[in-house]
Amino acid sequence: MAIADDVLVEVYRIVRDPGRTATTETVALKMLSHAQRAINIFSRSVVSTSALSTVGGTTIYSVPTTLGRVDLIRDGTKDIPKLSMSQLWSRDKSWPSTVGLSFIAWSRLGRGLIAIIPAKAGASSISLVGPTNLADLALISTTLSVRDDQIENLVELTEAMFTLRLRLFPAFNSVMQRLAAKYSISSTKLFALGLQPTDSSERTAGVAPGDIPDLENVTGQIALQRPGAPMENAGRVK
Amino acid sequence: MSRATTVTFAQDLAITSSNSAALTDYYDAQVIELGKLGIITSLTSQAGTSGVKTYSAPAVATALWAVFYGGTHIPLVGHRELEAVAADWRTQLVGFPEVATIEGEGDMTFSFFPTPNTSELVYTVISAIVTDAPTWLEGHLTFEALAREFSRETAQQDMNFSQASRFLSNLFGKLVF
Repeated sequence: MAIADDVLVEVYRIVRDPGRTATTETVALKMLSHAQRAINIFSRSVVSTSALSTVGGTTIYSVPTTLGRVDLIRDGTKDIPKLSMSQLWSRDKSWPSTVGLSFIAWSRLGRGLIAIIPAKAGASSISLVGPTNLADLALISTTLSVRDDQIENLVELTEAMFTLRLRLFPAFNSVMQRLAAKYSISSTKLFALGLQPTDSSERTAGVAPGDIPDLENVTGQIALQRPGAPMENAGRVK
Repeated sequence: MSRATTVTFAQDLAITSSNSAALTDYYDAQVIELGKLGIITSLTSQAGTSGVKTYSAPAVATALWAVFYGGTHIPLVGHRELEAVAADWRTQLVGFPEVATIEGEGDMTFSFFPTPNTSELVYTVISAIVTDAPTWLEGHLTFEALAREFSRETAQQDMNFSQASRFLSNLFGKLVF
């Protein structure tokens, strides 16, 4: 496994700072830490299983900070199926309080919460699986957590931050083009944030609740939501 | 990761003068924007009272995603959709809530229809203003703040730096969202 310095040596060489004077190792490690954390969440290079102690009668829990995202929930050896929040409602309007013998479904409520239904009468334990929210790298000798096949991506992203900081814009432009092609994002346009449209096919009797956007599989540009959109649009606050 | 830590990291990246107060404001503004994507969500509760139909989301809420009355998920709908529930929804005065509608975007008040005839806890799933966003968001927040800081008209305005920061903000967003 590579260590942090393996990446930093490469990046310092790229920016012509082998003496590590223009950028201190402290700042460099910080940049590398962010790069590793973000790349790991995207690539799922390192995945953790976090035990969650469920409380009797409770269906909604916070996502532990050790995970960047919950991708899978396991009850013993059984994977629990994932549904959207509107699907939970369609199945059982009282899903927040329904009690049962075993867990049958779960849902993300944004990135901060998960719902697991039905609640059990007593305490239980399940496993949350997802990409690890990697900790900051403390030393240049710290072993990197991501697989070796992600090292090149780490170098490029760290190089981008180095060249930005040092205002080496021609070099930044070069790495930006590579990163834009690799991750399919525009290198010229602003990142447009917007809500995903509500899927009208999920509506039942015209009153199905809207969903919190699940951005896990977003790959392309998201259309910018026009300001002043009518409040009647799914009744959601904008 | 605290907001102060993020601002400090942004200043380390900026090297030249950057306004920490402005960076802090941009952090807060972007947290609000992320709230519209349901990135940072939390569950809150308040007492519900029989006969009272209108409630407000907590003051820190930036988006309201779901409302539960007691143990029942009450759909949030628009005024037009209320007619799909019952054409005479305005005259259905009392009963167990079937739907909720947002009354005011500014103060995030919402009303149940019909007016509840029991007292239950009102739960809300919200996006909220936070000063300790998850660590995996710090990269996106840092470069977003830098992009805005260096695009505004100051002695330190640097559009190249701003646009480069914008790209990294986009990239970190693509990686972690």
